[in-house]
Amino acid sequence: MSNPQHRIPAGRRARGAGKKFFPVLCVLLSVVCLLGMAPASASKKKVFIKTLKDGHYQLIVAGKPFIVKGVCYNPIPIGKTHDYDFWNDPEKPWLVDGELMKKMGINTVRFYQPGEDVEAMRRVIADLYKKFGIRTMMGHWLGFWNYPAPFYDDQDFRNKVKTDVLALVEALKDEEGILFWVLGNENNYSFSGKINPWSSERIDKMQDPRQCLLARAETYYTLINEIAREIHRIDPNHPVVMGNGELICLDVANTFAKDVDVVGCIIYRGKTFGNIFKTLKNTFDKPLLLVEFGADAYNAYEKKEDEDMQAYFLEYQWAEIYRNIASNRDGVGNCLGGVMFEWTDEWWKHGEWDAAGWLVHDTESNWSNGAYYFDIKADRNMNMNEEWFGLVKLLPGEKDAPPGQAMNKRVPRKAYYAIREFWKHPSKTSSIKNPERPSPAGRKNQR
Amino acid sequence: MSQRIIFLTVCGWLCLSVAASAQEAASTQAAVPSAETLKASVAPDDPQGLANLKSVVAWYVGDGKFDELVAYLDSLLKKGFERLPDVYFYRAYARNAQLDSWKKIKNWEGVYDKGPEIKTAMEKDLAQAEKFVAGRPDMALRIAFLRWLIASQDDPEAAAGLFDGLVSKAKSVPAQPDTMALIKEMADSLSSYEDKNLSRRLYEIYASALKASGPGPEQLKKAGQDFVQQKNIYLAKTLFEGYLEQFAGDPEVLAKETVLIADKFAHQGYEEALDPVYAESLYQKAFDLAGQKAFTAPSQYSRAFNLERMKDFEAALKEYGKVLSDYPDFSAPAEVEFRASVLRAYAIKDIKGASSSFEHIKTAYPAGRLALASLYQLGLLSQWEAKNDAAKAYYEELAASAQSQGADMEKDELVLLSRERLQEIEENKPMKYALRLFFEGIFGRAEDAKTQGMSLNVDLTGRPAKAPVNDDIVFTVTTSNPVTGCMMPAYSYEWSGETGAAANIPNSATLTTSYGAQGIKVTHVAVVGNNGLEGVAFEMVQIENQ
Repeated sequence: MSNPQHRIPAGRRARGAGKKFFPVLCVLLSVVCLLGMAPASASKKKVFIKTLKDGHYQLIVAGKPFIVKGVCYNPIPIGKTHDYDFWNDPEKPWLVDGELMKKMGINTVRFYQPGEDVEAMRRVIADLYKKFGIRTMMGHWLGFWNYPAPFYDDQDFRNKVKTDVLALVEALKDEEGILFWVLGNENNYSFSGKINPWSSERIDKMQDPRQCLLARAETYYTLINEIAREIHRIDPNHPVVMGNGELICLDVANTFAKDVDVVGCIIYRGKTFGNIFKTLKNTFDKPLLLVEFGADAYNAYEKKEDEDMQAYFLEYQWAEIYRNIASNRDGVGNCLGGVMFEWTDEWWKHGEWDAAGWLVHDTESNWSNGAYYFDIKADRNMNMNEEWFGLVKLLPGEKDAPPGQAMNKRVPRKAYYAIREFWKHPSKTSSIKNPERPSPAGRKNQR
Repeated sequence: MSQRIIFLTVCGWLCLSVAASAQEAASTQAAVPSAETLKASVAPDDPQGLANLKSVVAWYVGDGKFDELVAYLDSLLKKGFERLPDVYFYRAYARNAQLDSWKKIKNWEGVYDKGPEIKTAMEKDLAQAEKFVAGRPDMALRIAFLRWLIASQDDPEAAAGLFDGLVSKAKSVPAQPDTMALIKEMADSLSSYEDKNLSRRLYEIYASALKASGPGPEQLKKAGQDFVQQKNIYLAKTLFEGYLEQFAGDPEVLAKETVLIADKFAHQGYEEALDPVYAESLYQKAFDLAGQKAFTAPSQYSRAFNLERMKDFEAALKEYGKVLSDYPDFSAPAEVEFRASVLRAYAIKDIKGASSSFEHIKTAYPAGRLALASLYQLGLLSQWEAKNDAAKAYYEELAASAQSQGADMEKDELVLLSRERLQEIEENKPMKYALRLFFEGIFGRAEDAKTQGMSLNVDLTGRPAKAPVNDDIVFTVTTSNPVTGCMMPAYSYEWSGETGAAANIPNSATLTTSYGAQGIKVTHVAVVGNNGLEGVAFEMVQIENQ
């Protein structure tokens, strides 16, 4: 990243030479002051990634190494849906959540998408940072959920997305609590045409599915790169993270999205992240942040809440993250930390079109993932329960309670405490954790 | 869930036996002594006194009075029990049970905030207990097990070492029935653990002791059969293998006995198999030993059917072929031939070979339901190949045969399906969409590149695979989904073939139906995504008269 604030204009030095001594001295003193002070204040503010001698990547925040101990934060109350403006929630849930997060050891939250009220966003970001020391990763969907489709191959659409993102950066870049900008979230899954499909006449003409996929990838990653460059220009203090589903198409990103600072991967691989650290090092050598990972707390096979299962997976996942952060000789050293999905359960997710369902904690699974093997023998292998990923569960607040007392109650799950302990003593448990968990895939699984 | 299991892990060989004996006493209407009475008769040097202590512990734990139990045990230490390992052990046990109870009620603050302190106390107690275990192998084993259990929660490396220690102790204790029973109970409690090696290591000790005690082969076989009933597959396998050892000198007998054991683990169709992969490995072993002589006709059929259920269609076809060629007296040759013909058509994609087999079925068994099913398949294959005259002739022959067999011409599914097909031919229309997609998926169309590049592995399984008329059968489609995170691709499921009595065929991955007539039903599904046809699959289920 280039930082124009740190440059001293050469022409200015030339103009001062050979004239009166005093002004020269003044100029020189000013320069000395600038050299001595400006970088110090800037570095205090600046978030950047340092490459260590051994090639490891280390995140530096306020001049100190920083491991991202993060959580995705989308505090939608029971009975509301995804378009709820939580930034202006009169209950100010972030104050209760921030306190709980701080006690757990969380130092970062990730918002997927900005709100419309900039002042409200500033207030939340500032409250989290100033009251609890929690920093914010601010994300943007990049129009992925646009209806009817995100036309990434359309120049007007690209311009609109770019304008939106840069306006966001301009508005929040001076907030002390900002840590990263996160561009997109699994948008790359659309390249195959199976998910949220988008295309263009140019791409359709290619016909061959593989060529179409590569063309979509190039189209999208060039947009990411254009936005990342612009962000660097207007905000050199906060790195840009690209939110990518798995490692899919990162070989294309290696060519077309060179200007992103951090690869943010969304990974659901169960107990282990597998070869991701090494593979990324060899395909797109950027620092890695696991911007979304985790496990749900509902056992779809046994059809009941299973806090052990969630804690079990998360402990393994964090152990692997810690093995691969800078300075740990056992790992690849390219991981900056992780952001768990997610802070609270979200009751609106299943059947989001049905308002009555927002009041129900649904237990029907939304997707299947064999890596979460304890309940993979659920009907049709549908074992992932999107409404049950919270580190804290929500309970309905007091009925008819006055504002300020109507907030959903937060009840930390086992994972909250398990990860809190892990962060306190990562060296003790950063090897394999709890290998002797009883498996529900036992006798009852015989159909 | 795991808390419950962990709890039972400890209680399984401690409290439950006590509770059981209490229940037994109650059922025989004997007066159950109160905790106070039992406390009065606890004695360190008397087996009954120790049994009473065990009962007292169970009373306290059953009531969740952990602190009171610890206080009671403390009081014993002041009354001459200070050299009794049980007191220290039960104190550690009580604390562990307290932690478990907190986990059960999700008192995570208690578990995580007070847990470390409690664990330190437990470790001290177990160390103290260990000083006095000479001559008490049962207590030595219990201490070792509890030590491992505690460590396994948060110190896996230490836990691994402690488990090795437990196994060493278990190997070194005298192979008395009570200690072996204790080892088996420990293994049982571990059998649901993720790491199967834990229970296996203890089962091995138990099985070795059992074998070393010199039971006759039939006793081993019976013990193996008992474990099959209990669905303790590992122990069943171990004992059956012990049983088979006696036949080592006679390969042909060994092979035949091996096949009989394999049958117990293979798919039979009415319920899920115990271990179909293991079954096939035994069948193969038997074949390697004695060739086809190892197999009776039913066993040969079982092997083929097991392979079919495992979706190894090519191997299944080969084994069905052997049933037909080597066992002319097999009781249900038409079934075998029909299954083989369907596999030949839709798995091997050999239309000519399949047609020839279907022709043979309708000629050889003209009065059976499978003759009608074969005529329908012949019609379908001809219609797909655009041989509409031939297809029409098969469908018409099906109607005539059904009538002569006394089928209900307004309800019989094959009759109704063949009418639909006839109408398509007469109106010069393509096959119904779902059916056409299935055939395109299986055989492809040169002019349609999309059907050549289907990206999904689709599995269609009907459960149960054999059922009586009118019983529910659930068909489930599972797909090898591309990696798309939490965003599942939206597929539509196009069902065709014999879909039974389901009034509305859902556009979903599950179809629940039943069949009103016996026979082997062939059901298909085509999975369609944004990019077109993604994959197809077929399944056979067998319907039998009550």
